[in-house]
Amino acid sequence: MGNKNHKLKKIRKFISPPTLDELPVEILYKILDELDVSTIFISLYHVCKRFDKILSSYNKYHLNFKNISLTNFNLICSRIHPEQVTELTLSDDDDNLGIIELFLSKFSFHTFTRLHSLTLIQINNEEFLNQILISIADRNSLVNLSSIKIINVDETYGDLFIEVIMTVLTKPSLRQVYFDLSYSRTTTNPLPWIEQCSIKQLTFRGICTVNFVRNTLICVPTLEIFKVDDFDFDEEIDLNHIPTHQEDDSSEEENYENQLTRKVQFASIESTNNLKSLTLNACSMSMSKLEWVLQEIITLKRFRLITAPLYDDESILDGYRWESLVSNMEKFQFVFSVNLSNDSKWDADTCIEKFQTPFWINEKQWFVTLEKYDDEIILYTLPYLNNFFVLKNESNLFEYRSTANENLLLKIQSMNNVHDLYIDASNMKKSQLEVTNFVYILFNSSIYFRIFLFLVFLMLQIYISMVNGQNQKHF
Amino acid sequence: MTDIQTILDLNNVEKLIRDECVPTMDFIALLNLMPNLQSIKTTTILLDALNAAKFCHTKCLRSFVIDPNCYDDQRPVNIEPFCAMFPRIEKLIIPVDNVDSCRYVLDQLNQDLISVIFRIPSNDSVLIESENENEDENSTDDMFSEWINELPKQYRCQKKQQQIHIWIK
Repeated sequence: MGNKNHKLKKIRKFISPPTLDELPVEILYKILDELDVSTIFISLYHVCKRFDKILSSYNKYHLNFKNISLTNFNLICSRIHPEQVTELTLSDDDDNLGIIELFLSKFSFHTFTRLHSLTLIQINNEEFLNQILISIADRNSLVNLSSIKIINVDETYGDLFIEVIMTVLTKPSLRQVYFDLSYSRTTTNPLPWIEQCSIKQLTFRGICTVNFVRNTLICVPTLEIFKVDDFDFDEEIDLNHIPTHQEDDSSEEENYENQLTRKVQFASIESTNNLKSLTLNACSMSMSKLEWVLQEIITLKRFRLITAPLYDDESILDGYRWESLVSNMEKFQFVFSVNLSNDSKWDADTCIEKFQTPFWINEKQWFVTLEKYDDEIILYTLPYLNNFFVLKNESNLFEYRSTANENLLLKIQSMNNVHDLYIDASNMKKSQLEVTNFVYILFNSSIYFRIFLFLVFLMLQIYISMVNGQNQKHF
Repeated sequence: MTDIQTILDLNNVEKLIRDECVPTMDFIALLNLMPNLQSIKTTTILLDALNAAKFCHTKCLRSFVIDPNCYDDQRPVNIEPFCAMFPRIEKLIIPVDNVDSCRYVLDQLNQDLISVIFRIPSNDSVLIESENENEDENSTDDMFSEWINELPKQYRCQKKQQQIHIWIK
């Protein structure tokens, strides 16, 4: 009997899962990969000698000092060794004002020898920023740094910053660069590329002049992924259209119409063979300029295009016109919000028909949804590209079409990217929610939504009573 | 309004920005239906209404912001009822008009408060209001600056234009 019990105990021990402190170090490292650094140092430190040993040997810490408490900041700084850090985020914004000074009083930047990724947010003290960047610019330090992100749209950094940052960009290890700086850095007073860089992914939040794009592509021949808000053509001369006296006399309206339909030609942007992906986040270019851009970058395989507010070139909604432009691409995602002119002859059925051809449905399997509110059209590929969605007021002229009506899986996943939801409930109607994918997805998504409610109570009550009273099954 | 849950899973709402006037009782009901709410951004008008309704939100909020962009409503918050209504906040951005309000916030919310930004009135606006009063009175700016110097040394404080940033713990 005793022997039997002993065997049972042994079996139980064999089949019961190990406790946390019994897990092999490799598994614990994997767990640490998923935890934020505050949790690691507050919850796991000094639990037992083994954990302390593991925490001191782990060397993939991601230090994110954005929105951190002063207590946690001091605690982490006292327990971590710089050579254990691979990712670092420093934010001197309103929540953590003065953190840079504090951080630099505790650490020398060049001691972060394993640093791969650095993010600097809202650092207005140029002296501290330059102190950090000078450490990075030294070719013999931080040799593993592959990603740098600088965010400060209000910056007025001077010449030293420009000199140092352009040197940083030539660092051989650097692959990803993200700049969200003041408007002039890519327009009137653009960053002056000094020599060739090895960057593969470049993001500029803002508008870039075409000339700046040209210079960028010359100095970054390795560039594969390029993300900007828009291209500015103001200083470009259309080689197909040098105005004659006769044209000068024609009405402004005629000139505008001609501009929308005719082909444009500018000095080449000399795209490299490596550029595979382009994102335009707030495009105001006319369709003819977009055509020119795409014809200039023939190697493009992925294209994401989001139009700027008040965009008004209806020809961007023409599926036939897009077919020849994106035929070689592997992925084409877009959100077009187009304001129609008063005399527009645009028609929802005609528009959606052009996205129902074998090219869109069978060959590429790119599906689109169309929503019409008064004089605004929103046409987007599925899944919806942006991380926010505006549930607009439905007008009497609201129309909805989709080429994915029979693709249930795509409809379920269509809003998975959406984290921020804007609801204008002032005049919402039931039919609007019945037909869009959107509501369905909200119930099925597991991600946390930050909801922005623009609620006007009385009108919402009308809407709710309609939903409750008439049809619940759609939800 | 609580029927909004027929289109949204309110368990998933983390941040609520309220822009329009909503009947107070309905707004309270909505807050109670959002168990995972972590941040609120609103206006002083709503606070007055919530106070009148004897509202109290006992769960800890990660942030509470009085919208600085709402130009119709830039009145300072009535601090005592505010601290009673929202006794647990980690990060706070709030307009005040006197040093005593700042002291009260630090004292009453000290359990969870990590950082606070007090938006203070500019001297200009105070001067307009008190044109006929004694001119040798300390300016508002000076009073706040003096108060900052009295704060414990372990706090990190900075006065930046019309804002006082305090990083407490």
